[in-house]
Amino acid sequence: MNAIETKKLTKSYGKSRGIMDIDLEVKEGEIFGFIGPNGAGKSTTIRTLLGLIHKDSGEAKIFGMDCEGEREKILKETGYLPSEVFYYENMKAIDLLRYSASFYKKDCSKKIKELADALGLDLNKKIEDMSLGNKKKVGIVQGLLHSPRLIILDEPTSGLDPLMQQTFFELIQEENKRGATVLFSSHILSEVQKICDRVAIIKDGRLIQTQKISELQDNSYKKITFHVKDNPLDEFQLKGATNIEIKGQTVRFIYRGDCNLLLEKINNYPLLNVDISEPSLEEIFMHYYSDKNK
Amino acid sequence: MNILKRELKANLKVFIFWIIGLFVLLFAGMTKFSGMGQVAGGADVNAVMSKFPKVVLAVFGMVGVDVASLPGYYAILAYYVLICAVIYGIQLGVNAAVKEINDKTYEFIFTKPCSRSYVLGIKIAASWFNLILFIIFEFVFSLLAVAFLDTGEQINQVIFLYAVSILLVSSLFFSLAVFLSIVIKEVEKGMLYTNLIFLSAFVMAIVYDMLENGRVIKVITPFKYFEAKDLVKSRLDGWYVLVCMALSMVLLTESFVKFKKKDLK
Repeated sequence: MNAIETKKLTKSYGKSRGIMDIDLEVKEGEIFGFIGPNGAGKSTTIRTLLGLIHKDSGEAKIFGMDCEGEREKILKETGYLPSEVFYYENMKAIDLLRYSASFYKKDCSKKIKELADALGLDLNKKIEDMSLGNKKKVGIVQGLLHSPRLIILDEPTSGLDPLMQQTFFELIQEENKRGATVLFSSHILSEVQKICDRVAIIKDGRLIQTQKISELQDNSYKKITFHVKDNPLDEFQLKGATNIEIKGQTVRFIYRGDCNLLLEKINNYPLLNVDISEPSLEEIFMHYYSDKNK
Repeated sequence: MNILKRELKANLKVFIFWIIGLFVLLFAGMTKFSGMGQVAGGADVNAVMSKFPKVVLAVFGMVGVDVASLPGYYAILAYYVLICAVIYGIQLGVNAAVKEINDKTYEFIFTKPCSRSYVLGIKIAASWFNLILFIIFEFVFSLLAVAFLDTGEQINQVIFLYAVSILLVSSLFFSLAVFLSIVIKEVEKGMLYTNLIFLSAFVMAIVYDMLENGRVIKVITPFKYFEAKDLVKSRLDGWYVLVCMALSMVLLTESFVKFKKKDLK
C-alpha cells in the first residue's frame, strides 16, 4: 500500500502560486525526498496532505484514507515537523511535549526522554528563551514522540548545526527501521541524497520528475568550470554538456556523462584551472528544463 | 480537557487584569454615590445635569436616568461595565477564533488528531466561560459595593437584570468577533473590523439617545437593546433577549461552518 498517494492534486492561491496536477506516490516504509526551491509548492503540498488547506481538485490519500474526509484518523498516525516552529508563550519544552503527547492515547514519556537525550535538549527550559536550533529540536521531538507511521518533515534541518543534522538523520533512519514512512522536504539536494530512497522534484508548483536516489547519483550532474591560458576560446562542444557559457578564457557548463571523456576533452586545452563541483539545485532545474524543451 | 485547561491558563492573566479594573470601577464608582444627592451650592444634581448638552449625557450613558437615585446611579456604572464587557468579549472572541493562526501555532494544534470543530468548540467554550465569570464577578462586586454604601435601599434585582443584559450583549459581540475573525481572509484584521462595528454601534447608541423616536436605530445598536429606563424598574425586554440569543447562535453556528472550510495559513 502507498503511504501517500496524490492524483492531479491542485491548489491555487491566485495566478502564480500553488500546486498543479501533483501525482505523488510514496511507498510504505520508504524515506522519500521532496525537493524544490523555496516557493516551489512543497509546503503547499504538505499542508494539503495534512488538511491545513483545502485542495481545489484532485485526490490526496494517506494510508488509503482521504486527507479531508478522514483527517483525524490520518493525524493519529502522522508526525509533522513544520519548516518554522512556533510554540506557545511561557511554556517549557516539557510542558509543550506533554501537551502534544496528551492528544495521543499512549504513554510517550519514555520516547520524549530518549529523543531529548539524543538531541541534547534541555526539557526544562522555556521555549521562548531557546535558540532557533533548540526550538527545532523541540519540533523534532514533538513530531516523533508518538512513534507515528508517517513522518512529514518540512525543511527539518534549517537551524541545526552539521553535527546535530547528522544525529537527526540517524534518528530518522531509526524511525524508518522501526517501520515509519518518511516524507522529507528540502531545498538542499545533498541532504536528501544522504538518507532518501527516492526523490520527487517540484518546481513552480509542478512535479518535474520522480527518481531513485541511486539513479540520480549514477546520472549525477556536475558543474564544470575551467580557465585556459593565453587565447580566449571561441567555442566548446562535448556530448553531455549543456548550458555552455564561454566568457573569454573561462568555460562553464553542466555535464552528465562519462568522467573520462570529460577529462580527456578538457585536457586538450592549455589549462590554468579546473573546478568540478556539484551544481546547485537551480542549475539542475535549468538542466531539466532545457532537457524538457528539446 | 487538555485544550480546555491550556486555554483557561492562557486566558488567566488578562482575566485577572480585567477583574481588578472591574473592582476599581464598581467600588470607586459606587462610593461617589454618597456625594450625588446634592452638588456644591445645594442645587439638585438632576437640574445640573439637564444643563449639559444632550450629546454629552448620551456619551456617558446618562440620558433618561435619575442619577440622584441609587438604581439610576448604578445604571451609569453598569453602562461602563457593559462597554468593558463588550471590549473584553471582542478580545476573547478574536483570540478563540484566530490567535493560533496569528501566533502561527496552528501548525501544532491543527495537526493533532482532533477535528477543527472540536478545537474551535473548546476554545469558544473556554473564552465564553471567562466572559461569564467576568459578569458573575460584576454581579457580586455590584452587590457588595451597594451593600457597603449602606443606604438601606435594595436594588438586587436591578443588579441581576443588568448582569443578564450585559452577558447577552457582550456574548453577541463575542460571537460577532468569532465570526468576523473567521470569515475575513486576513486574520489579523478580525479585531479591527469587530472594533469598527463596536464603535459604530456605540455612536448609534448616542444618536438613538439624541433622537426622540429612534426605534429603527435601536435594532442596529445592541447597546440600546436593554435600556436603563426599563432596567432600573426591573424590566428586561424579552424580545431583545431572544434577538441576542438568536443572533449569537446564528453567528457561532456559521463560524463553525466557515472554519471547517477555512485554509489555515
